[in-house]
This record gives sequence, structure tokens and C-alpha cells, in this order.
Amino acid sequence: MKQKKTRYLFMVPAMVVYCAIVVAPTLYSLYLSLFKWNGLGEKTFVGLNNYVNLFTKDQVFRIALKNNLIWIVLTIAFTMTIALLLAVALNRKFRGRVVYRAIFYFPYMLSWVVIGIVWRWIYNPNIGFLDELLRLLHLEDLSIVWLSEPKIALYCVFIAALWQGIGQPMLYFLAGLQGVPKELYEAAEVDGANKASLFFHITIPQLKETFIIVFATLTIASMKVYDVVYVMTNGGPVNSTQTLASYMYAQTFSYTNLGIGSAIASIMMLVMMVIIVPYVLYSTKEE
Amino acid sequence: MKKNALCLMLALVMLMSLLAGCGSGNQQNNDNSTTPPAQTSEPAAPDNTEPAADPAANEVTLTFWTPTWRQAAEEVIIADFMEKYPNIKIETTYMSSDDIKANTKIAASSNTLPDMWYNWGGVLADFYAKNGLCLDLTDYAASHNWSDRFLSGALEQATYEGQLVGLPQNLIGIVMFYRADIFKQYNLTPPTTLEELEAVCDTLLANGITPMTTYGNALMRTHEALLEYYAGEEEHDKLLLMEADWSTSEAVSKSFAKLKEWIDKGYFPATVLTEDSNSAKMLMYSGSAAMTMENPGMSSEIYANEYNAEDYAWFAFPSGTGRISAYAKLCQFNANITDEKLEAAMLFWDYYYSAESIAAHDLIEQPTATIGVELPETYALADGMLEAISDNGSFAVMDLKMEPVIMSQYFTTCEAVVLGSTAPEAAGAEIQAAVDNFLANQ
Repeated sequence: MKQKKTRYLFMVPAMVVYCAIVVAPTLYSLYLSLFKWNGLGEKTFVGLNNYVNLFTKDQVFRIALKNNLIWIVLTIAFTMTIALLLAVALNRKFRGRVVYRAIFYFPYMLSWVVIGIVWRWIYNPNIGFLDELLRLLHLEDLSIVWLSEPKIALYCVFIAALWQGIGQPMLYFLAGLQGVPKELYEAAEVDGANKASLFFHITIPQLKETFIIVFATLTIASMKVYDVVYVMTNGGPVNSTQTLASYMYAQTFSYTNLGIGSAIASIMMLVMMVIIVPYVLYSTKEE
Repeated sequence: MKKNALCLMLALVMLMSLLAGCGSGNQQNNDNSTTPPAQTSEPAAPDNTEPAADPAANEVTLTFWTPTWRQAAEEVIIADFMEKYPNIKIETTYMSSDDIKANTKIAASSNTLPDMWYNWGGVLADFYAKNGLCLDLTDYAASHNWSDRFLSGALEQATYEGQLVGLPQNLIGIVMFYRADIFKQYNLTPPTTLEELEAVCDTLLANGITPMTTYGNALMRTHEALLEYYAGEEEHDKLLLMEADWSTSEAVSKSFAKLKEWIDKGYFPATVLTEDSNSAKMLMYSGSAAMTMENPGMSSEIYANEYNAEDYAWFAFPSGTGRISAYAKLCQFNANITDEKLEAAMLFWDYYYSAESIAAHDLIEQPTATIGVELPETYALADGMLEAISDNGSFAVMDLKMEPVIMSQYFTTCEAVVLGSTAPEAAGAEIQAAVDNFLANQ
């Protein structure tokens, strides 16, 4: 019992710091979301009006929310899948494996600003790589002003984010794969399992905990996406690439609507919990 | 197993709460990094003022937030100033444009504003006057003859409801820079009417040159000049002050229609909406575009990059009224600043724009709002701009005259008109809706 108490005592300093710099501001943010406030002077209590107005009257917010949800789906579908496949491929022994790992991880080390600028040049319809490639393939008719087209601008930005974002989950999966016992594969092979069976019946189940971490970090990153959008399109054209993070920043710092900015932050957290918590519960329940 | 799940859940909640914490309006992101002072030689008297108190006699420390693009110049100026006045210490924090806007607002909410900070004239500076956070310099200016020291246009841009909200540092006009060599090649002369401008654009287009280059939201510079053309002085000013109705204004419809017509004709690059400042200007430097609406900073950029300055010149956009769009750059002072600190600050600004300092520091941002300061060689291409503003008058740039929330709608509408999803005649109604919404929330 004494040992147990001591254990908790060791946690106190960290908990105090955590409460002071995370929990308290979070609760204060929730509190602020119930007020109309420009950061100065009196706060006016408006109850849930900020939330109601965001969902019922604010078209930009609805676009931003939709974009974030699309981004999450795309991230889970493509970033996680491609990262897993790359990790499996790069986990096998072959010559130059380390070099390939470095190549695929390299974009992750670049800042979003660099990524944004590089990809904006790639999409440039006059001198960009993409349109040059289309011209080379005699597919000029497919050429458009990629980032100025509201229907596809978000997907164009996502491709840039995908290129950058694969490195980190790939590394997580690689780490997870190192922990899968080789005996499992050997035993399955003796039983006549083919490669697909090995992948679906051994690799995937053995990576369950890695999946939880990757899923959670990718979902959180998807909700926070801002920099790459800011650099490539600044939320445009016509708000088609607006995200909750950029809109929260605009409401808080440009329009000085701190109540609305805080409401957006709270909604972001809620959306993440709605997505992540059931997944974690489901994954751990199976165990 | 349940315990493991609980631990995992708690860890995730902690991770997510980190994000929510970011939304708090009570953040204090005031990175007060300082420049160490060099306190050496004898104190000297100010160049051109006689302060009421003698701030050089006592130890005074001033905190100052200023943009990073001035760092190279101001590090030297401040070091030189502190060498001259060893009892005055200036603790400077350099920030990007976005950071200085955000951090001053955060500091305002927690009453931790520095003694003085850089700002743009218009709504950004007015915010601090409205809330009683910056010093009203009206009396100080009157007693120190600022009307003889600063350009009237700059003082006007620094005034909000009768209050002088800051010390004017620069008066920036936005004009059309053009490639003089390309104009010469096609026998073109700087246009003085809108029809002439269109004729110039048609000639350039026929010769495979993009007439005008600009980027993203900067397209508004062309639109606001067109608005001035169609609305005239009085209506344009009323629209900016939200005293006229955007939805019923014929000038608003016509100006958007003209912008759309120019876009469709190819007067701008196809990438105009998502272009960035540098790559837009590169089109001009490379000779594939011939004109751009820019501020005088373009002159120093041309010299800094060693382009042939003779290939460039400027003309005022033919707005019909002759007025040029302009804005001021200011230094605002904390409303709670002490007299002693204020005198020390003014001593600093006297030094900053003194003939001695201008001669010694060629990186000082130009054109200054101080009367009688000659432009350095790197700003030779901006020569005559201040005189043109002085002779013909100016109108405030829209993004510094209207509230950010309205400007956000304006930019969206502008993009929608360019893309064809909003008809030019419907554009005014969208902007007016944002104006009405803003006024209703006041």
C-alpha cells in the first residue's frame, strides 16, 4: 500500500505541470466558448449560441468541418494504408533497404512551408512538373489550374500532405513489425499459409497496438491540419480548402471573436473523441 | 485488460486536450527576447527636439515589438542609439507580420502590451484606440509641431475619430510598376485613362506578354482601384466606412464586372488566385508579365536583386479621381506609458528619422512619413510617389479600412467572381451581408 502511495506521489509534479498548462487552459477554453468576447472588456454570456450559430448560420465553418472530415477519411484510407504497405516492404531484407527507408522518411523531415512551396510549383500550370508531364504524355486536355479549382483544390493539397506524411506512420509500423515474432510466420508457413494469409492473419493482428497509435496520431494531425493549407491555398479558392484550425485562428486572432474561436477548438476536440474513442474501445475489447 | 484500455484512453484524452488548449484566448505567447544594449560613450543631446523631461538623465528601459523584416536595419539603429544615449535601453522583440498582429492582441487581453509596437494604420491600429490601449498622441503632436514634421497624408491615415493613434513611420502608396523596356519595345506609353490601360493590355496580350501580374488576395489592389474609378471619391469613401450600401451600388457591380472581364481576357496569369507574392513578381522580372500593382518596396527589391533598374518605372493607376491607394505604418505607444518613457521613446524616433541616422542606415524602410527625408538610391524607382499622393490625395487601402471579418467575405466574393460562381452584380449583396452582420454584432 505504501509503495502504491509513493508511486502516486512521484506523479504529482508532472500532474501539476500538466494541469497548469493543459487542463486549466482547456477548461478555460470551454468556458470562453460560452461567451461573446473580443478579448478585452466585459464578457457576455451567450450559453450555447456560439455553437448553434456555427452549425446553423456559419457556412465557412460547415465547409471547414466537412473538409476536416474528408481529410481524416483520406488520411486513414491512403496515408495509413500506404505507410503500412511501405513498412511491410521495407521490413524485408534486401540490398539498399536503409537507403529506401531514408528516402521515404525524408519528406517528413521537411517543414510544411517547404512542402507547400514545392507542391505549388509542381501544380503550376505554366511551368509545373505535373503539366509538363501531361504535355509529355500528350494529355494536355487534362491540364487545369489545379489549385484554383474549388472542386479539386482540397485533394491537390492532400496529395502534398500525403507525400509528406507517410514517413512517420511508416516508422511506427516498422517499429511494430520488428516486434512480431518470426516463429509465428514460420509456423504458419509450415501449415501452408500463403503470403496474403500471413499478412492478414498474422501481420495485421500483431500490429493492433501500433494501429491504435497511428490511427490516433493521424486523426489528431488531420484535425489540426493548417500549415500546408495556409501555404498552398490560404483556405481558398472560395473557402474550398478552409479547415477548422485555420478558421479557429481567423476567428480568434483576426476577427477577435474569442468565444467563437474557443467553440471551434472545443468542437475539434469533440470530433476527435467521437472518432478515436469508439475505435480504441473496439480494439481493446477484442483483446 | 480493462486497466490497459483505460490507460490508453486517458493517454489519448491528454493528447487531444493539448489541442483544445490551443483555442484558449488566454494564451501568453509574449516572447520577449531582447537585444543586449551596448552602453558606452557620452550621452548626446537629441538632434531636433527638446524633450520636456530629460530621459537621458535616468535609466529608462523601453520594450518594443517590431517586424522581422526591419530587424537588419533596427538592430543597428538601436545599437547606435543606445551608444549615443547609454541610459536608454530598448528591449526589442522581432516578429513576423502575422505574429505581431496576433501577439499584440493576446498582450492586449492580458494587459501586457509593450511600451511601443509596430502596427499598420487603419482598423489594426484603431482596435487599440477603440479600447483605450494606445496613447492618443493628439496633444503631444500639437505641442511638438508634428504637422511640420510628418506628411499630412500619413497623419490622416494615423487618425481614428479625432485621436492620433500612433507615430507615422511610413506612407506607402500602391502604384502600377511596369517594365519600361517592354513598353518601349511595343511603343507603349504609361496610360492616363482606363481605356488607354486596356489598349496597353491588349497590345501586350497580342504579343504574348501577360499584361498584369499579381497574387491571391492582392488582386484586390486592382479591384479597389477600379472601385475608385466607378464610384468616385465620395461613394468609395462611404463604401469603405460602411455608410453606403454595397448591394445597391452600381459602382460595385461595374468594378467587379470589369475585373471579371479582365480575368477572362487573360490580363492576369491563370494562376492569379493561388500565386504567391514572389512567383507573381518573378513573372515581371523574367519579362513574361509587364505590370504589377505594388508598393515602393518593389524598388528596393529590384536593386537588391541587381535587376536593371532602368527597365522599370511606375505610373498611378488611372482611377479617374487621381487618388492613389495608400496606407501608413505606425508606432503605437502603450496608454499606460510614463512621461519619462514617452520622452525616451520620442527621443528614439527623433534619432531614427534624423538626417544623421538616415545617412548612416541605408536599410531604413522608405518612403518615410517624415517631411524632407530624401530617398536613398535603392528607392530611386519610387521617386515622386509621395509627391503624387500629396498632389492628388489618397484613399485608404480596403484591407486596412474595413474590419477583417468583412474583408474575409470580400476576398471570398472576389475569388467567386473571378471563378464565375458569383455574378458581378450579386457580389455587392454578399459583401453587404457581411457588413450588416458585423454591424448587428457591435
